[in-house]
Parts: sequence; C-alpha cells; structure tokens
Amino acid sequence: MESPSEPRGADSGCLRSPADRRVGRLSSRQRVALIAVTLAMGWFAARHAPPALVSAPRSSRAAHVAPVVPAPTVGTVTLPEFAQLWVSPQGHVRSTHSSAICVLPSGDLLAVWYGGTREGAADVALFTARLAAGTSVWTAPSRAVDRALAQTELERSIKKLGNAVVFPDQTGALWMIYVSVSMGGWSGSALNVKTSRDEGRTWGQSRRLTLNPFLNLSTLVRNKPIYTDDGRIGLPVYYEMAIKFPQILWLTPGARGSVPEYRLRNLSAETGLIQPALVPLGHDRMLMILRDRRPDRRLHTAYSEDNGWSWSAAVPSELPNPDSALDAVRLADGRILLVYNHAQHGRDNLRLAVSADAGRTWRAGPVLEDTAGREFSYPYLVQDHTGTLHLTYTWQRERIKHLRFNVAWLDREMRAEPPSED
Amino acid sequence: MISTYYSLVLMAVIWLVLLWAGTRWQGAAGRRSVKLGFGFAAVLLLFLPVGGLQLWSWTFGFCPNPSFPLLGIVCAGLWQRLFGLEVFKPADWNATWVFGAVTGSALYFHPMLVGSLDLYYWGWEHAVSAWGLAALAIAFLARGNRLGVLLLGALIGYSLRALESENAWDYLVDPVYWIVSLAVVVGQTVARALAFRRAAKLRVPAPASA
Repeated sequence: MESPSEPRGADSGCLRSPADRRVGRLSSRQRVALIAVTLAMGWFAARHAPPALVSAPRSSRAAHVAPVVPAPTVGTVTLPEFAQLWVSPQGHVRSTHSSAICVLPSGDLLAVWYGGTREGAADVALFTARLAAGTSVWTAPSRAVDRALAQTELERSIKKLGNAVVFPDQTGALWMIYVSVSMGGWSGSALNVKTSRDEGRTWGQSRRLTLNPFLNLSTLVRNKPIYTDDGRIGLPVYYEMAIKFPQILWLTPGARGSVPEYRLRNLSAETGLIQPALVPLGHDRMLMILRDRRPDRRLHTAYSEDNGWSWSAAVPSELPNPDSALDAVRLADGRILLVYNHAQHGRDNLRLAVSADAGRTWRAGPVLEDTAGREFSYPYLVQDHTGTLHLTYTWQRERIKHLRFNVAWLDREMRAEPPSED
Repeated sequence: MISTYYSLVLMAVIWLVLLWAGTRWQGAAGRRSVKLGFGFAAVLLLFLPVGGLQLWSWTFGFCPNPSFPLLGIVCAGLWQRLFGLEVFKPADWNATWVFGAVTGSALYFHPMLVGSLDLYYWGWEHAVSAWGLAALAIAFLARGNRLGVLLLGALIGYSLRALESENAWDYLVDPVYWIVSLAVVVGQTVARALAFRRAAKLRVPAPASA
C-alpha cells in the first residue's frame, strides 16, 4: 500500500526495504527483472555485432584496380609520353577546385571536383567527367551532387559542399566520399558516402557517416585510399576543428555498395598536420606525407610497419610546403613520385619530386607550372593499367587541368633537371 | 527509422517546453485539453517550413544523434507534466545529471588532455560496447537507480541501430544532454556552497560585548 506521503503512481513497494522506500529506489523484484533483460540484450547485441576489425591489415596496396602492363616500347626503350588535357571546359563555372580522379575497372578515368561562383558558395556543386580509355577528350561535366540534392538525400540543412574523392572498391562498386557543411566554415564539415554500380553514370542515395562525438563535426577528405587484402578500404581523412590532425577511415564494403562497418582511427598525436597522402611501400610498410599548417611550413613524413594501422611520429622533410595539398604514388621500380607546391608561401608553382629511399630524401623534378600570383594547387595523382600517370589539379581556380605522362618522360625530365640545392 | 525516432524525440522536447512554458506564464497548462493542444502544436511545429526545410530537418542537421538518456529525461519530464506522476526520484535525477556531466566531459575533452588516447574509437568495437553498456546499466540497476533503465534503453537502441551513428557513445551521451547536465551539476554545486556558507555564518556566535 502506498504511503500517503508518496506521490501517486509511485512503486507499490513489494520487496522494498525501508531505506529504498525513503529514497524511492526500484524494488528488488524490479531490479532482478531489469538486470535479466539487460543481460539478455547485452548477449543479443554482442552476438549480432558485425565481426570486429580491430587488428592491423595483413597487407595493403595502392588504389589501382589491375596490375600494370608494360607500355609500348621501341626495342628496349620506352617512348616518353606527355600530354596536357582539360577536365573542365573554360567558363563552365566561375570557380573550380579540389579535383580527384580514379581509374575505373573498365580502364576509363573518372574525375570529380567542386565548382560554383566561389569556394563555399551555396551554388557550389560536385561535378564529374569521364575520359574513355585511349581517348584524349573529357566528357562534358555532369552535376553529380548539389546542395538541394544533398539536403533531400541527407534529410537536413546543407550550407555548402566541399572536397570529394572517388574510387572503386574490390567488388566493382564506385564510391564517392564528399564533404558537406551544415553550420560554420570548413571545420563544421561532415563526410557523406554515395556509391554507384555503373561506374559513376548514376549514383545511389547519400549516407552520412558519423565520425566524431561532438555533433559529428569536422572530418574532411582529400586523398586517395589504400586497399587491404581482407577487403577493407583505408581512406586518409583529417580533423580540422581547433586542433588539426590526420586520421584514417577504415571502411568495409558490403553488398551492392553498402557500408556495413566503418571506424575512424587517429594517426598521430601531433597537431597541425593534415591531408595525409598514403603510399604503400610493400612488405607491410607505408609512407604518409602530410600538409603542414604550422609556421615551419615543411612537408612531413611518417611510417607505418603494419599497413597503416599504427604510425611513427611525423618528421619534417627537406621539402617546403605552403600549407597546401600534395599527392604521391609509388612507381613500379619502387621510387616515390610526389607532386607538390615547392614554396613556403603561395601556390604559384607546381612541381614533381622523386624519392629513391622511400621518402627519406627527395630530388626535385620538373616544374609543371610557375606563374607568379596564380594558383596551381590540390594535385591528385594516379597510375592506370598501362603504367601511365595521370595528374589533375586546380588551374588558377578556373579549370581542372589533366597532365598525362609516363615514367620514360619523367626519367628524361629528371635527367635534365640540375641537382637541387634544398 | 532514424528520422521517425528523431521526430518523436523532438516532438517530445517541444511538447515538454510548451507545457513548461504554459504552466509558467499562463497557469493554464493544468487543463487536459490545453495539454493535448500543446501536443498537437508540437506536432505542427515539427513540420513548420523554415527556409525550405521543415523544422525537424533543421535540428536534425545540427544534432542528429540524441542520446537515450536525453530521451528518457524528456519523457520523464513530459510524463510528470502531463499526468503529475513522478517517474524519476531525486536520486535518479542526481545520478542522471552527474552521469551526463562526467561522461560528456570525458568524451569531449579527453583528446585535449590525454593526447593519442581515443575513447570514441572504442565505441565502434561492437561486442565490447554492448557488454560495456550492459555493465553500466546493471551497475545502476543493482543499486535500484532508474538511470539504469535509461542505460538499458541505450543498449536496446544500440542493438537496433536506432540512431544514424553506429558508435555506442552516441547512444549514451550527446552534446545537449552533456551541456544541460553540466549546467545542472554546476548550479547545484554552487547552490550547495552558498547554502553551506550561509549556514556557517549563522553558526558563528556573536562577538561578546566588552
């Protein structure tokens, strides 16, 4: 029976001690029943949990889809090849930036970038274009995602769109991971994923990835992923709110482009280093090259001995970095090819550099662009099935440029380059 | 499912706020018709178009993962306002506020204090998280505290992946719950300190006259 002083609806008090009744605790019977339900739910949740991917991958490789086949040769000499193409046509939008490309399973190239009246404007959309294998003209840009579509698909307010990357998984599905912002500047970013089953001609619904505890703010993407033998995709991302540091997003592809499992690991306790570029070196080793937002303005490198799971401390390299994105690939002969802005301030030049000792030392290579007061930035470098290298980058914020060259051209240019004094 | 859950939480929050405001300003919220009217208004407000988006969609964009303890607090408050039934006792409220303040502070501040330790990462270890949530719930239930029921709710929600997030931490705490909890705990501590000071002053004997 309820005591008159207890509020209406309070527990009837069966099996309740006088002390419990004073403070209004649950009765013993209620406790036992609820604990039993909790244990049952714990068992159910643990039993139906996806397999835990808590260990380092056994092996990894760069985001190429097929083994490299030899390029055409004359006798034993490979002919140097170099071509300049335009991904985005002149004047298609006022401002373009942050391109990414990937080699599709068919051998075609697909590029994605964002464009609009200016960076961060509400009319900025993500565009894609395709270069069919063996051709030299990119298709007209196709609007893949704009703010209205992202709002509809994500069921929330979207203020602006930003960086995007595209890559195929090992099942043939094509993935697009893109940045959207609902409030604030770029530090208010969140990542979203879309997948395509027809090499980017049509895309499925966007899905928001929850990667941070505080309102899921401030994860951005820029560089290409690595693949592991157990099917995981390791996508380098970075955190930008207040403290800035690199992270790796481990994605497990499911059936028909689904994402049944993902998790984010911090790569370094050091701050001020973002936009990590990952380069698998073979034998479980991996190189990470980082953009420097700190005053010393040097490219930083770090190493992993377990396929990107854990990392050494980042150390400054001999190359400068004007707080700008970079990219790198490992060539078939083991050298690392880097593309970056060779300056501590400004993005008015774009240059190649080669390392023959896994990124410890660098030899500066050919200058690709150099015009004072202009911007050449955000390079993205991939190698296709034939070994040809494809580099896209922001050209004066007006267009996306594509350079296509082979290793023979690179070697010829490196021979012509005087030894660097840096 | 995520949108439905979110809409229900937001509707409950708006309803509770309307009931609270109604009692405070009009004193009319005691009438059942008024209470139900507030509920109807809460539903309408959810779908109020603001800048081309409905209100629930705006708030979803800013706080997409309301935790289960937050939902429990709102429902307990709503139940009390609607039916006058005290679901949570003072000890339950205290535990809930302290839990929110401590858990949120640990989760949101630890990257700045302890370097490379990443508590949030462990929320993706599903089996560990499930048993961790269960252990927390059992710890409170064994003491007869109703916060354990909210934590059991978080475990059930996590099993069903009821939120957009797949990380167990988001089922346990969110920024709104953390900030409110922190405010309550700090407020209570200050009030207690002031009361103690006042009591201490009263205990001081008057100086003897010469």
